[in-house]
Amino acid sequence: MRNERPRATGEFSDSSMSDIAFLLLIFFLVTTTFDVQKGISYQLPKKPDEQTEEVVIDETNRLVMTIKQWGLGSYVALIDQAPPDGPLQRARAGEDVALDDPILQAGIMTLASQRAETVEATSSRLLNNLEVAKGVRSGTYSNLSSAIQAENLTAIVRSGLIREVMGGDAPTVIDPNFGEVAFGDTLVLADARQGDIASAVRESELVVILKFFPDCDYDGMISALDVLRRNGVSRTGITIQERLGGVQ
Amino acid sequence: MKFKRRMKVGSAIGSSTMSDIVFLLLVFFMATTIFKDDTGLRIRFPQAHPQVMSELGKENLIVAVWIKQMNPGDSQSEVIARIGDYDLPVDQVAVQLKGLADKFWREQNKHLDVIVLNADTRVPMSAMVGLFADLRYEELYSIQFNAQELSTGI
Repeated sequence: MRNERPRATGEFSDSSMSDIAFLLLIFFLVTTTFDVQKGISYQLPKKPDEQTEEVVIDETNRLVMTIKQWGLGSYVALIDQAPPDGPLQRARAGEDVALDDPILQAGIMTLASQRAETVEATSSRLLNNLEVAKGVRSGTYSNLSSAIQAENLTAIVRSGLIREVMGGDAPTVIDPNFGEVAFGDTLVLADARQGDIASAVRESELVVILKFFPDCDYDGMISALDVLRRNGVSRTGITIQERLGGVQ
Repeated sequence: MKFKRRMKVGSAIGSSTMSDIVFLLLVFFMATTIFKDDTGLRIRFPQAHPQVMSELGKENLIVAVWIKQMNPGDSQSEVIARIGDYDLPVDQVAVQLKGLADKFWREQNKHLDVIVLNADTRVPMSAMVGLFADLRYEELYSIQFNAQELSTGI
């Protein structure tokens, strides 16, 4: 009688391969994050030609500031023109102030809030945005109320940064569709199925023209835009301050 | 009379070659992978408050433009841009973008929605304002200034 020895096979077990593959797949599915582009959105003005109407900004809605670089990452603003009788008129005109100066920022916010646009103007923009989102031609809805009824939409107000900073001082208006709307709030039209469909921010009519010294760096522009947006200014112009004497 | 037993057919798929294939692929990719040299794009992003920044929707058709100086910080240094894999002088960016926008429209019937500017913080404003003027001339109006979120509060 011969005793048979168990033979060693040349294979290795791969039954756990699928477990490992799925474990890794789930790990990467859960932990992967995609890099999202975030930044300051900006709309350049239309190219000047025969069809473009020249926009004249009223002196009462215009603030002109020259931005200068003052060392690395530090910028100063010189107020060239401020709306008459406003907070920046007497105290700060003709004087260099740091861009992060709290008095300058409070002055900009006060000027902006005093010039908050009417809710009707915001509603009109919202109606345009809704027509674009729905892909219908302009003028399909006679007004916002009829659009809300026709499309069975919900009107929502999202409070903005201004209300957070100004608290009870933020100027508010009662609107029949949205209720109480403060300066800087976002009006949103939502749908039960798709969620947010269109939105518009109640902006200020204040226009701030930023004149940069040519050697001021790009960081200065972002800092200036950041200060303005945080204080409720969304309408800005960007240009270069020409040096006196002509040669740069 | 005894019938011959039929041969049984195994239902398992042989997986012994799996490890060979995996290792072959691993060695192939290890040997052939090259990492793109991104030294020309190394830029310092500006910072902005998170609440003033907006996020672009996934459905937006965007083109990213990288802008920096050859010698960052030197105001006389040439400003260069990169679109995709191509480096070009900053004064040619608007024309190239217009060409791209026309191509998107011709081939895919899509509008170029947003131009994302990834510019170095040290680029002088004279170059940037020149670029804005060129973009306006080419009727490209919607732009986004990319920035990193400020970690501090208001």
